[in-house]
Amino acid sequence: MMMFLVLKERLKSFYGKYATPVNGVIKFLYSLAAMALLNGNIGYRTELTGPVALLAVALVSAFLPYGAIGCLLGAVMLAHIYAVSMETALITAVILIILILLYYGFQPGDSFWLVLTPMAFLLKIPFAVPLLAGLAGSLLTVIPVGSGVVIYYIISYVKQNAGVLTNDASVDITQKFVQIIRGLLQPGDDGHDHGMCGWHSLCIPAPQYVTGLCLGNCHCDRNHRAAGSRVCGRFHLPCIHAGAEAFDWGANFPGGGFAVSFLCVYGRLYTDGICPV
Amino acid sequence: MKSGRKHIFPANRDFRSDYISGRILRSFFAYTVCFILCALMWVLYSMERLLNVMELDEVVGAAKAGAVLYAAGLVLYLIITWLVSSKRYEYARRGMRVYIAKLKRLEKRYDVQSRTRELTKEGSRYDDVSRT
Repeated sequence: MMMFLVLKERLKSFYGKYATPVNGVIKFLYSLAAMALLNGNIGYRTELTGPVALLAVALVSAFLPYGAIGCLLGAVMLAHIYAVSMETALITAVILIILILLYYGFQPGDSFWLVLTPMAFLLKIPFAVPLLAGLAGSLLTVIPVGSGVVIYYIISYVKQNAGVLTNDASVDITQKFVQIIRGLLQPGDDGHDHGMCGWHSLCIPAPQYVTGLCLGNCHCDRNHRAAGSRVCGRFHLPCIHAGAEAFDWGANFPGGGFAVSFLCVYGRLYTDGICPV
Repeated sequence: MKSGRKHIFPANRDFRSDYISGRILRSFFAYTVCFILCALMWVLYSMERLLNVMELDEVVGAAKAGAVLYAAGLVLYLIITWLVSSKRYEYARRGMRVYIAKLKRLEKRYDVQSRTRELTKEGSRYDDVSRT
C-alpha cells in the first residue's frame, strides 16, 4: 500500500512539473487511437487511412482542446462515410450539428466522453464507459455518453452495410433516405440491421412479402438439418410484410407467438444464421 | 483559477442581464437551426407519403403540430439556457471575487517583501556608516 501511495505522490509531482507535455502526449495518444479505430472500422477514404495522415491528425490534435479534437475526428468520420454514401454522411452531419449546437453550445467541457464512448464500444469494452463516467463525471455526462453510443451505432451501421450503401445508385433518393433512417433507428443488437427477422434489413432492398425465414443457411431446404449444433429449418410466415411498418404476426399463424420468440432468441444468438426467403 | 477562466472572464465583461440575454439569443438561433434541420430530415423521410397522400388538411395539421412542437421545445430550451447562464454568472462573480482577493493578498505580500528588502538595505547601509 505504501508503495502505491509513494507512486501516486511521484506521479502527482511529475504531472505538476510537466503538465503541458504530458497533456499533449495524452491527447496525441487519444486521437491516434481514435483515428486508428475509425480507419480500422470505416476506413473507406483511402487518403485518410495512411500512416502519414494518421500521425498528422494525431499531432495536430495534441495542440487542440478536447472539443476541437472531437470536431476534427467528426470531420474524419464524415469523410469516411461520405466515401460510402452521401446520404448517410448528410444524416450523420445533421446529428452532429444538432449535438454541437444544442449541447456543446453550453461549453460543458466534457467532450472527451463523446469520442471515448465509441472507442470503448469498438474495443469491446462498452461497460467501462458508464463505470468511468459514474466515477469521474457528473449527471450531465449522460448526454455525451448517449451521443457517443449513437455515433457508435452509425459507425457500426455504415460498416455492416457499406456494400449495400455503395451499390444502390438505382434506388430513388427519397427511398434511400427512408431506408437509411429506418436502418439507423432500428438496428439489431450490434448495430447490424439484420435484426430478428430482417424486415427492416437492407438485404431486402424494397418492400416485399417474405414467405418464410430460413435458419442455418440461406439455401437450406425444408426441415433439413445442417452440420454442427445449429438448428436448421424453414419457417413459413405468410403474414410478415418485410420492408414495411405493417406486419401481422398471429392472425394466420397458429402458435406464432412461440415461434417468433424462438426466432428472436435464435436471431440474437446466431446473427448470420437467419434470413428471409 | 486556471480551469474556471473559460467561464469567469466572459461573464465579468457584461452585466447580468446582458450576459443572460446574449446567451438566450444564441440559444434561440441554435434551437431554430436544429429544428429546421430536424424538420428537413422528417420531410425527406416522409417525402413519398407526403407526395402520394397530398391532402391539404393533413399538411396543415402537420404544420400546426410542428409549430406547437417548436414553441414548446423552444420555451423548454430557453428556460434551461436561462437557468444555466444565471448559475454560470453567479459562479463567475464569486470566482472573480476570490481571484481579486487572492491578487490583493499577493500584492500585499510583494509589498511586505519589497519593504523588508528596502529596510534591510537601509539597515546594512546604516551598519556600514556606523562601522566607519
